[in-house]
Amino acid sequence: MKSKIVRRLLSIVAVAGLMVGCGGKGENSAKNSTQQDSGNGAVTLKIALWDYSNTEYFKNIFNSFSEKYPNIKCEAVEFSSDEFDTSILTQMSAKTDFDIVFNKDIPTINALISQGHIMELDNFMEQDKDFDKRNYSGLIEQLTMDNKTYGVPFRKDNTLLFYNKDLFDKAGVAYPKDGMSMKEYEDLAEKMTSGEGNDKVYGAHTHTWTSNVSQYARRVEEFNPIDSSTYEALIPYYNTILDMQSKQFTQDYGSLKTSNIHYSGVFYNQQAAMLEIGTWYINMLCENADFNWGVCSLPNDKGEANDKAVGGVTPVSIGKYSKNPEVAWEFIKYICGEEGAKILAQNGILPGFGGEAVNNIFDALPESHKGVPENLSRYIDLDTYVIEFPMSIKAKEIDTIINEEHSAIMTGTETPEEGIKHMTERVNELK
Amino acid sequence: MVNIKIYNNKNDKYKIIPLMTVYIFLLFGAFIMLIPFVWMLSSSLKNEKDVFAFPIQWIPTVAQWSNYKVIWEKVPLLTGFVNSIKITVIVTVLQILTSTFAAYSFAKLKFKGRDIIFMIYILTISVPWQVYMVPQFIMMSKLKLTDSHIGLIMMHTFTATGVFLIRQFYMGIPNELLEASRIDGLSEYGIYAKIMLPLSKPAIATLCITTFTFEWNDFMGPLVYLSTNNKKTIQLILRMFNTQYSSNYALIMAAAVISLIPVMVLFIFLQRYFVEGIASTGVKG
Amino acid sequence: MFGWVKGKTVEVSVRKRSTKFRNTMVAYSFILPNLIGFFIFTFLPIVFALILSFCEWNAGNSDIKFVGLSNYITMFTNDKSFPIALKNTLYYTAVTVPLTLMVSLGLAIIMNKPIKGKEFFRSCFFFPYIASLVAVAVVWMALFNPDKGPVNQILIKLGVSVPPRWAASQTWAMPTIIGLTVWKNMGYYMIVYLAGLQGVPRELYEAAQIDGAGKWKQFTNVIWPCITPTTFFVLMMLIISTFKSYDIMYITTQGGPGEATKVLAYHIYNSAFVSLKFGYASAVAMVLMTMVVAISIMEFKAEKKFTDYL
Repeated sequence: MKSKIVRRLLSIVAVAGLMVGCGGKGENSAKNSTQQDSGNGAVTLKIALWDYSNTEYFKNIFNSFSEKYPNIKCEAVEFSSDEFDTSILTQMSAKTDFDIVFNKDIPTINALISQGHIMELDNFMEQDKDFDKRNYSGLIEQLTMDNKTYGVPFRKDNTLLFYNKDLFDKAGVAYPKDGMSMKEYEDLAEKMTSGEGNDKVYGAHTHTWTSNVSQYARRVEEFNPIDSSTYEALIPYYNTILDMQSKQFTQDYGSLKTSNIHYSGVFYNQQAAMLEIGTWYINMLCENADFNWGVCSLPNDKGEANDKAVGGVTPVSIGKYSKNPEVAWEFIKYICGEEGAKILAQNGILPGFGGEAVNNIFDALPESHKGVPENLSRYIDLDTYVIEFPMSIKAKEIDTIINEEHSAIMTGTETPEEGIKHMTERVNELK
Repeated sequence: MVNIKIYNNKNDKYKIIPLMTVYIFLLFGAFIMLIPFVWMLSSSLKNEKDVFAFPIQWIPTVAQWSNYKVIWEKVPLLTGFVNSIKITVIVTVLQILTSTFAAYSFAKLKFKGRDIIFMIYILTISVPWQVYMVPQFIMMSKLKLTDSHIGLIMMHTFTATGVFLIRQFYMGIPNELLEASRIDGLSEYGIYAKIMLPLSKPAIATLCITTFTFEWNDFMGPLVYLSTNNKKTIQLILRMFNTQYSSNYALIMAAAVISLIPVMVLFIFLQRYFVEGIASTGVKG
Repeated sequence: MFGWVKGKTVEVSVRKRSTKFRNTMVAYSFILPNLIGFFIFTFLPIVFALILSFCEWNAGNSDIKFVGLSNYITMFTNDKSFPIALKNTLYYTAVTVPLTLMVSLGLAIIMNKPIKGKEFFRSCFFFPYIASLVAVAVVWMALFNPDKGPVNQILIKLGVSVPPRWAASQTWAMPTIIGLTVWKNMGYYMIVYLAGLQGVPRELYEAAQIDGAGKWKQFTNVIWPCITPTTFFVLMMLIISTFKSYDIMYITTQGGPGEATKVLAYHIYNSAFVSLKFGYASAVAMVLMTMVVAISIMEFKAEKKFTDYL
């Protein structure tokens, strides 16, 4: 008797749930639209992003865009940066009508592509005479999936070796230079390590992200996260980094990770002479550092100097359920074009758009900020940009596996050989 | 007065040495428990770059009181407070009302389907939210309840945990008491209002604190459901100090200290309900 | 079918049909305000999610595809992370639950005694529960920092030459997390137990004392049976919440090192939001729920046995 009732109850629920859950598929939830203001034809763009309230350049760019196009308003919908992916996936699953979606990284844009939540941009790019792919250092070509493009790079970053000039001068050691080998890097770190206890200055600082090891190899294209046959190339790099850690030229990974120690404080407080990190750090150093610092390209075992850049990209896309895709394209073109790029550069952020104008702004930084090196443009305007993570539908999954094995290797739970073996096996098993 | 006398009863009194041990243990425990609070307080008075300096510096060299000023100016903290208080109070009140109501039925009345419904209630607690978050969001969006406080309130008011907690407490109330009242001619509603509610003050206080704390500290719910800035809760606004490449923990902790105050005040206020036992209401077990 | 849930019910020997019907209506009128909301906003989405466990869906534009038992088959044959996560979850639960239960009950009993300043102590012990998880986690991890943390420095002074590397070690990561969980949550369960202890009629204490029962006997004969419903609640909630636990690992270890602290809820989250396999995530959640069903059946039986002699 009871079980019959249960069964009937469940079936009603199931039907109702399915109807509510996936009913009305394909409809563009037109009623939700608040976009078209009546009368003057003004349009409001709904923009999904993170870090809006505490990032000056977003507001500056949006304002200057609205000045140029008085009929277009920008409405920022802000999600917290750590949970951006979860938030945007959930929102898009209910077909929220975002016009613009900022993608935190390559794995995010891949997820949205595979779910069909963002638009192809190829038609816009081809029909728009003002838009030139060549301004993006080949990044647009790297952002394609099955020969279709879904995003335009708003920001990019180049991972560099930052060093504290004051500490090197004090120790009488020559500054790091482009094209060092990993061995030279380790020797340099050894020379720069001094002091004991709380006064200890480490020769270098290896932050806890996987990219803090993998990008040495990624820049010279020995390593490719979506090609598991290249993972073995990481082993020598892991060996060097682990050796530096065990000889205490760098702080211990486990200690850093469990104490949540942020790389920025270590370097600001002059507790490390060298730090491998992305170019976003230029902006943070301008604001916080009271010493002279410099940059050089990443050491590697292939003998490559400053010819290639490696780092992440922030692509911007148009939401699939946007009411005003043409207007959204105008917006993307503006913020990812020269005008947007200038505003980013003035804030010490490397824009996806490259060129003289951007270089000049970076080269002028020493005039306004103390301690900034000359000729930063040498390190930000390079012919070849290697995206740290190439486009792949499995990007997020691969990323997670690589990170897990990274933590196992860095804590000594696995040797680099074992870790890489697991990494390869697990990535190969993905379907 | 009567209670105190019972407590001072010879057999129940601690002897001096065990008493000392208990106090030492409690003081030590309290000390350990307060460390996070001290850390929050001290971090909130530091420069960003010093927060994770190791070993922990408990007393900042120069207290940055300006952090508190900065958060007040930088983010709409007041809006967050108002929104959080609104949502939290409504959810807490509604949950206490509906939970005590339903729990009475589950604990003390016999009716068809009771056990199945109760079992389903408990089972739903065990399903992680991440699993049904997306279907729920899609449903709420069809009902036009996303990006609204009502949606969030609806989602969090009717949880099984509250019903479960109160039911368990009601189970401990002797049936003889209810029978006597029924014979006296009280209806079930009368029993609920005149006997069960007054008797379950400690349980209601517990539910009140836990619902309030949960709702006040909830982050994922508002994160997914509230996107308009002036609807955001205090916890969402706190997170805005986290950015992609750095987190300003000094400011986060300053804001966290402020956001703790309502919960602390409520807890201290509700404490007195934990000393009112059943015996003092004259019930014979 | 669910006959063991009966508990204490109103016994009315002879009843006419109409009064029975009326009683049922009265009973439902108590439940309905909660039940309706619960049904729409929680139950429906959950049922939908459970149906998803037989489907393939990436939360995108594409159709939901029915795949039968394939998600379940994959889970048990083709997903190396699943057995690891299952093992970790059982380990985490098996240690956390009894530990939290004992500590919080002990604290509640002490706090229920006439102790000076108990309001202060109660607030202190409750504090980690209301404090931000980030703050609690940071402090805990700092105490257990493998190189410079005070715990290891004390261990070294005590003559332990190689102290554990805690969260940075495969073996010790889980115990570190367990400690953090107990620390964070015991205050909550202490409060629940305190509320339960208020329900123990004082007359029973007195009776026991007059009988000259010792402390331990007083506990086993009087307190323990009286707070059985509370214990039942605490036990169920503890088991369920440890099964569902995810944010503590997310904030501290991200499931690492390697997969040492990857628990089922973490795996569920990853399957849904990283691999975009919402159907598979639901299937794993189903397994988790089945375990809760099994445990709650045993507990309901035990509860009935205990409450019978109240």
